[in-house]
Amino acid sequence: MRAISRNALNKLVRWMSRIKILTIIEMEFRRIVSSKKFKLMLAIMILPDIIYLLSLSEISPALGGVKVCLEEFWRQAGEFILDFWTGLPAQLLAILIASELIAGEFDEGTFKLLITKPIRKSSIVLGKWMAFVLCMIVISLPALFLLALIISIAYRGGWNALSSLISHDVMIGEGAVLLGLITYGSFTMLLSSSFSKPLYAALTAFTFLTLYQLIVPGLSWLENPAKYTLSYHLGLFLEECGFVLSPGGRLYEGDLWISLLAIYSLNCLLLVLSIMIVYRREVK
Amino acid sequence: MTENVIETENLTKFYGERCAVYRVNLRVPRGVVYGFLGPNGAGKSTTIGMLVGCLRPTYGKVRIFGLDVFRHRTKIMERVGYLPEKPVAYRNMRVEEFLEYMGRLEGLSRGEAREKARELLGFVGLGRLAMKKVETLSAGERQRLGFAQALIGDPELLILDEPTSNLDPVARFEILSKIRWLASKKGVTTFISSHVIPEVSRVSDYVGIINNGSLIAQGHITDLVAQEEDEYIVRVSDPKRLIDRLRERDYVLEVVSEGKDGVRLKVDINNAHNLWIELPELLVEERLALYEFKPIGDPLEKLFLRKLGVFQ
Repeated sequence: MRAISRNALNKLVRWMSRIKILTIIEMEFRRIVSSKKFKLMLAIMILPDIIYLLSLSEISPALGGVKVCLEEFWRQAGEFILDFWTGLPAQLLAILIASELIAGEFDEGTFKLLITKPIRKSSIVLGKWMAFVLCMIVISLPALFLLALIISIAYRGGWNALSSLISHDVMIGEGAVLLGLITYGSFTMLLSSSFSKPLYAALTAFTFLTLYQLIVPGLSWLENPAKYTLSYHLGLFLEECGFVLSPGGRLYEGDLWISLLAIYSLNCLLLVLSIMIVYRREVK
Repeated sequence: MTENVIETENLTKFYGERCAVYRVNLRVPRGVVYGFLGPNGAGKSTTIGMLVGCLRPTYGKVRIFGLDVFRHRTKIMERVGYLPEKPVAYRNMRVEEFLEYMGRLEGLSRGEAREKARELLGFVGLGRLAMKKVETLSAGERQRLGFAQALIGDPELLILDEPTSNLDPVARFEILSKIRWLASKKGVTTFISSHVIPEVSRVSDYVGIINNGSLIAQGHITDLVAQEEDEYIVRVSDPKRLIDRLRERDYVLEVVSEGKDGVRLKVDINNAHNLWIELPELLVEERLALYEFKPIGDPLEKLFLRKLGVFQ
């Protein structure tokens, strides 16, 4: 089984090399990581952890232990993920990074260079999107890991608590953050494929997403209008994976697999539309 | 029949109501340097945009190496190198890093791309700037880098849009020499777009002239300028004796005195080489001292201006 997986992985890597996606991923990843926006986003993602650390008061020894660490992590991570790490501050920065993926190349004039090389336009779009995903992993994982570390130390959970958090809950939290940021990024990349200036793509994405998140939950003619926002499904994801977000019971109801399918389908649709737009666009 | 590397069929491009290129039928044979001439705004860059797949024709077809550009773009671009009119590069990359990236997009491995990048930087005279950031390069240096980028994939066809713009005279000479060398020694077909006629005249085997979006002349440079007379100024010690002798020659179409010691003559371009052989003999026979001998104008320039209707 392991040999089959390794074989399949090798074939995938060779195919990706042949269509030059790996080259695009590497270059785009390096470009994003060396940018000021990335460094700013990394600092902002860690900010809630710093504030949490500074706000911690003396914790009674009776309140320590692995179980307490888990509960505290669920509560804090859930709040940070839904309000901050996939909330407006992180959305804005993800949008700013994603807006440059295609529109940045048009603005600089370098898209002409790319499409006159023997590389498919779909490889360009997919490669840049994958680089964006990798960057979001690099941005979000330290923040979650740091939170797990702070809680394990503050609540005296020790190595047992930390290893338990890292092996399961940090990964779940990372999954939720990625689902959120990647979806916002995919939407922004669609706009980036349509505009020639990253600023226009960023402004349009941010305006649309902000208005959507403000208006839709207030639509009384929809049954449970909050269900039509991404943050609801991220909350559902966290609860279904074991996070206890509220001591009073579940906050989110729904079918996890339908939510995941919807998010996955939305991202696929956004990617396909981005590729179609790039294929149709002329480069003057 | 020579195989054509580039073939277009009624290539047409409209931007709304405005026609940028109209029914252009290019034929670029293999292994030649094809000079694509036209004034500013004639449609040169639009035509090139359609050749490399950046622009979609309103109608018409583009075939490179016998393949349709829009259906087989990736396969064609493996054999094509392109230099845009305004060379661009990733500003935050280092020169060698940028060239290496372009090489990897051509399918070279990391090591091969690095080696090829270093070789090409030497070839275009940018070897000492390998570790500099692209944004610090001058316009001329970026032009050379753009030329190197076009060569990184060892192309069989080079499409160069104004390759000598932003270059000083020495650099222009070097680049044109390299283009000629690539065509002669490596068999690289080169399609150069330019409005600098003497440069095109110097390196090109074939020429196409475009004006107001239409191809108004195309063919081997010698065939095209065959109808154009060639003019010279000769300054000698006794111009009258030279005039009398030159009037006997049937390839001399017109000969008049010019100033105190000059003779202006027009010769049939097809037999102009006879002048080069017989003039020294005439000077020796008549015991005339030669002070100056220089051509006036460029036959290609005259053809170009005549086709554009500037003079008849």
